[in-house]
Amino acid sequence: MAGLGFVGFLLVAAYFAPLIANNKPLLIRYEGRWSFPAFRELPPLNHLLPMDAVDLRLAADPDWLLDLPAKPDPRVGFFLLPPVPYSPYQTRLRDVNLGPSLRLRHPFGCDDGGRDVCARMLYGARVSLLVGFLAVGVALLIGVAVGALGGYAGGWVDMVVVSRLIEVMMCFPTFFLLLAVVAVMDPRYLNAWTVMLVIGLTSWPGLARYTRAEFMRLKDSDMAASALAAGAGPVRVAFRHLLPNALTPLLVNATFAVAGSILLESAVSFLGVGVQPPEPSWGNILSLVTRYWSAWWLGLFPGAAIFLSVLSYNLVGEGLREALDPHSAG
Amino acid sequence: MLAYTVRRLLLMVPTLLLITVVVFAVVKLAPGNPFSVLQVPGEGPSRQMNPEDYQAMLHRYGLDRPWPVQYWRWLRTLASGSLGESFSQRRPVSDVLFGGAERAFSAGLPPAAAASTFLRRLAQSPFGATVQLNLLALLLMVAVAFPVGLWAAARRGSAFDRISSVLLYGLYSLPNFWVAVLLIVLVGVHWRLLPFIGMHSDGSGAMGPLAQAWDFLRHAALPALCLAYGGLAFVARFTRGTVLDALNQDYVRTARAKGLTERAVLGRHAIRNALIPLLTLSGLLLPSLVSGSVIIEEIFAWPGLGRLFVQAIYARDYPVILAESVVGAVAVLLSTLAADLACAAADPRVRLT
Repeated sequence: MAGLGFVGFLLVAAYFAPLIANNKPLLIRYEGRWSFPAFRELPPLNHLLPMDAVDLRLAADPDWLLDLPAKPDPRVGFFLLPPVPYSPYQTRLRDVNLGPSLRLRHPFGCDDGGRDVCARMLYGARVSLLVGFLAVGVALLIGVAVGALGGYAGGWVDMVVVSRLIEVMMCFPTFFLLLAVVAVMDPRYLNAWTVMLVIGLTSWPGLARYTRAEFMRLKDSDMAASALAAGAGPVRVAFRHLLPNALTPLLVNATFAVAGSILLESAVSFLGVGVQPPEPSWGNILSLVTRYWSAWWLGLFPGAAIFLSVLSYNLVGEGLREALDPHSAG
Repeated sequence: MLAYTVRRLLLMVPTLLLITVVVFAVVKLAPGNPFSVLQVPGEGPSRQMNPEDYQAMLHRYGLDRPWPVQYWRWLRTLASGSLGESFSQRRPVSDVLFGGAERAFSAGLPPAAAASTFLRRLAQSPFGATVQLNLLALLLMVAVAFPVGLWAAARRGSAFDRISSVLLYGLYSLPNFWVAVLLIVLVGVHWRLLPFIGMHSDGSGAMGPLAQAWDFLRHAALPALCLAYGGLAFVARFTRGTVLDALNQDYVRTARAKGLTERAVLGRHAIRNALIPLLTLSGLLLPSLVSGSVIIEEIFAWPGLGRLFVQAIYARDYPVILAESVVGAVAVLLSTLAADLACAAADPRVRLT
């Protein structure tokens, strides 16, 4: 349950990141009018709220409100900044490699560009969450298709094509294969989306093996025989009748795969060949500590976030397994 | 046994061929080639490679040919025992990976001298460095996890069983590069207890053999620890499972019935049968160990295959990337085979079909 709770917390934090960490105010009275600049960055609202004078002012001078005590501006009335009043992208010379400080509202410190680590981690959570779902989605699509083909068709299709392919893919350490793909890719295409895609494309063999085993088991069941006797074609039997029955163990494995792909993404980003700065990801924030060993906050916080989310997904997977399979207790 | 080994080796041939196909396809399907990085549109003219040079480079390395021709050429180089030539180091990839160890035999030395040269070169090569680190990690892993698993099985349901299982599970979820970073910050930088860069201290060549070994162990301690702890949960749970299995067998009941102490039952009967699956497991652990050692070697500047791989990526050294992917997959294949054979040798019940 703790696992599910943390995943939920991540979802909320990632979605509401612009309201938690932003250099734009939540609300402000400017030239006698109220406006809500931070809300304009929340996905459905960004199309609904119109641009106004404050947005233009903020675009010209992003840290204008932070510098307000030094340079007063008579047009500004009341304003409220988010709890962490920094954007994940805005560099600030004053804060370069600054340690955690609650007084300066940098709870997790700053990186080598003076960007707030807490803000970057909140936005990085989006990458980590998406990578889990998208990469595993791609892996599931391929894995289920390949595994179903091998398990259901059987015979030479399985022996010669599917089983060999799965065996060969399992031979590659996933991380090697992933790095090989990223390595030869044109850096122009290297961003969070392609990294997710590549992780999905390289991590399907485990899921394919499970699907194949499940389909082999179910193929000879009475259920499949009766569906065939009722005139259903093989594709229909495979996907309408066998697949729903094979979904339970697949779901458990997919949950573990989510944890695995979060780990893979942060590892490639850590090596600098994944999500590229200034785009934030937990892995690329963590990698900065290898350049500044005394900046421990660059190592502690993003790593803890990776650990907690991987642990959460693993706990959710373990919980699912126990809930779905009463025999597994042991 | 011999027939079984030969059959398994023959079955490896199509698998090997498929491995080369997959590696080649992966590299070809990804957008870009080694030289397209040098043609970034956003960069200024001084950073651009001119189009004629670009074409010339493609032609020089045969990259302008259709892909089946490229694959065939690569396969032919592989079949001739060569792994190609490194772009960035301008020497054969086999020299880069194995330190030119195989040439020890063609140098006309007497066999004993050739063998020792071979071993020395191999040990100093990136391949040797990775093997040493991974063996140490595997040893550490089994040495800790086996007793834990055994104890947990013997005291099933006890506080030790539950607490060790939760702790090991937590360890399994800890990203090893994070642990590496924290260990370096704490043990290496803050307390200055252990070195964390490379494999030897400067000038270790002048030390005596014992001092050298100690120096090596001090350097290897942190990276080996980082590689080992993740697999602890896996090995410990596996051991616990097989020992529990063994404890439910008739021969254990017989042993208990004839009045043996619990110690003798565990030590003499249960452990022996739990050791055999452990052999297979060591083979299966290799891919994850190798994967893990890429990032750990990079962090600790360990001069092994993993670090070489990362550097080849930064340098876009295609031949090294291709060669390492193939070597990695082949190593996994061979270790699985070795584990199966060891298992068959140790357990007469394994059917050799």
